Amino acid sequence: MILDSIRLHIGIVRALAFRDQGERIRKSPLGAVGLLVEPLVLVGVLLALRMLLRIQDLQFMNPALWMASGFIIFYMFSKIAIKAITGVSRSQRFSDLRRILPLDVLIAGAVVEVQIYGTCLFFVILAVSLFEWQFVVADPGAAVLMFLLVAVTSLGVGLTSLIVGHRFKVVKIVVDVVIKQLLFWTSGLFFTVALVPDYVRPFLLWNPLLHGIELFRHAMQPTYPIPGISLSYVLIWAFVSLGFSMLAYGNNEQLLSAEEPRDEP
Amino acid sequence: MILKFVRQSGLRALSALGERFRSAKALRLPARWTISPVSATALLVVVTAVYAFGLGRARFKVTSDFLIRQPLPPGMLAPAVLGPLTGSPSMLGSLEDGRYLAFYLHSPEVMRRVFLRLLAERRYARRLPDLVAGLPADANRDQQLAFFRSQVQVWPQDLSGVIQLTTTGLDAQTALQLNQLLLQEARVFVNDMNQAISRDQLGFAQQEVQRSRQRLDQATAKLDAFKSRYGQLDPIQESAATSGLITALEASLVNLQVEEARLKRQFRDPQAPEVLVVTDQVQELQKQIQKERDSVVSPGGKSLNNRATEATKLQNEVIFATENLKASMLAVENSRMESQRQLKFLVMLSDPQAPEVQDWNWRFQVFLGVVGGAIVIWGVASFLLGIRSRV
Repeated sequence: MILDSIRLHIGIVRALAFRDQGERIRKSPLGAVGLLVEPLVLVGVLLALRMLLRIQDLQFMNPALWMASGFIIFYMFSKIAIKAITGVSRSQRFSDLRRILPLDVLIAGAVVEVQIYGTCLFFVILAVSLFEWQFVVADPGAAVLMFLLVAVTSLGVGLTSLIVGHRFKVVKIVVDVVIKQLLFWTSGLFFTVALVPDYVRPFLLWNPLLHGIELFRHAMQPTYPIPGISLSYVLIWAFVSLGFSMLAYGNNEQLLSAEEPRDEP
Repeated sequence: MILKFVRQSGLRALSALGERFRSAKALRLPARWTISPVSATALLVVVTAVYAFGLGRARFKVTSDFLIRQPLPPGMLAPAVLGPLTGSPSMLGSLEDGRYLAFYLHSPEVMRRVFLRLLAERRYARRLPDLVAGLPADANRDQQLAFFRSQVQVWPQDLSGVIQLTTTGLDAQTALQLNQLLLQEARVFVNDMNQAISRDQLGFAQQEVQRSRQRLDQATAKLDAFKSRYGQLDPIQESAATSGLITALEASLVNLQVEEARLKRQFRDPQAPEVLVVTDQVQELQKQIQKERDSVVSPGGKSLNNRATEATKLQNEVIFATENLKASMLAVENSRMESQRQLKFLVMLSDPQAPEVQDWNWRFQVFLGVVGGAIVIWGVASFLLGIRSRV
């Protein structure tokens, strides 16, 4: 009975993800290609800028891979979390199909984001491996695990913010700003945690996304230094945020519906 | 227009990819052998789990950390061992040496020596039920080298210059001994390399001493020959003496000319005997001065200027050759001392210890690697096929 229910919801999520993917392709100016190209353009521009300014700092791994891993993981986190905070818009609701839960819609959206950004990262890794003529991922299992843990954390944080934010409006606004601004500058997109001064590092290490991104880089290159970075911290964030959001979801399912349709960030 | 072109190109590429998938289906096995992708993945994951957590032999890892440091000469400020190492010369030196060491410790020569002492073919032999771990009995030299390299990791840390040496063995003692043997090799490499450089420098310095000695001998001989040829002890001093004589004569000439002028004013007749005496003296002195001058510069005379110049040149050559010999002898002495002295040291930060428990990391790495690979393949393939189905 439970297995049938799980299988049913997996099928629903897959179908919704397929539908969501179609919508994303329709909205993208470059179509299907655009889905993959858009996240890579920013990384490409920043890399070109770096080359143009001749920035020479300590490089613990391939700079393209370092930059791509930071930006792609951050944008995946940001998109999934913001989408979860926004809730299910009216256009996504299936009021006539009672088996489709709002949570299914949000999970499907997260799956599509994971697929898009994961595929981008996959192609970057492939390109760097071909360029360096060796496979650049030392521990593929850990890399995939980190990527998925960040995705789970983002879904958990987004859902929790949505539910808590319904009671306290300010929470929703604060989380939105924190994700878009604060995490952007403190998640290791522009720096390596090992090169951060010791008196700043403890403040940055509160950010779970920084742990996720740095552990992902460490999985690529075992000599990449990660002082203060902890796998346990990421695991706790992922499971606690997801667990709390699921707990709250049971009693507040109607809150997953957005009050007003909002554009994607 | 461009956007449309890009969009159509992308769709065409995905369509071509789909065709490949369709044509691949034609090659599939007979119906009774077909297996769904989900079942195949599940089977792969189960087989991996059985191997990783059941059949796979235990691996043991031993890690040691060390620095390569050179004692600083007295007078230079030595950085504290636990002080800020970033960018310090000793850290950069250790890092550089560590990078060379990483290549050296993975070299076939090291493998040959270490495997010989370790009896690797017996200790790393494959055993049932795990037929993956270990060295095949009939492994050729290339396979042995590849296996050796997979058992030894040398990681110089960019930030601190610390070199981390990790060895893997199928039992704790093998891993420990491999680590210890490699540390010995590292010590030999660090010292031999530096002492070999000093020995080469010593040979070169000794050659230079011979060359400088010959040069000094030649320069001294030339100077002696010059002196013998002209019968002069020191042409420079002789030239200086002549110049002094000319100066003295010129001073006397000036005095006499003044006296002559005074007498000409005193006597109305310039032919007066008192005047004529002084005039004769002036003329005689002028002739003498001219004669001395000619003897110094004219080629027909003593040509003291040329001789002095040549003598200076020869003397300079002797001085230069003497200094050169001194410097060469000093270099020989230094090189001799350096070639006997230990220039660099391996500073052990953590000694290798025999592990008491096996390394579980590889089991999770293998399992998660397969699961992660399956997820990536599923994610990327389903995403691309989802796009293709819309074409």
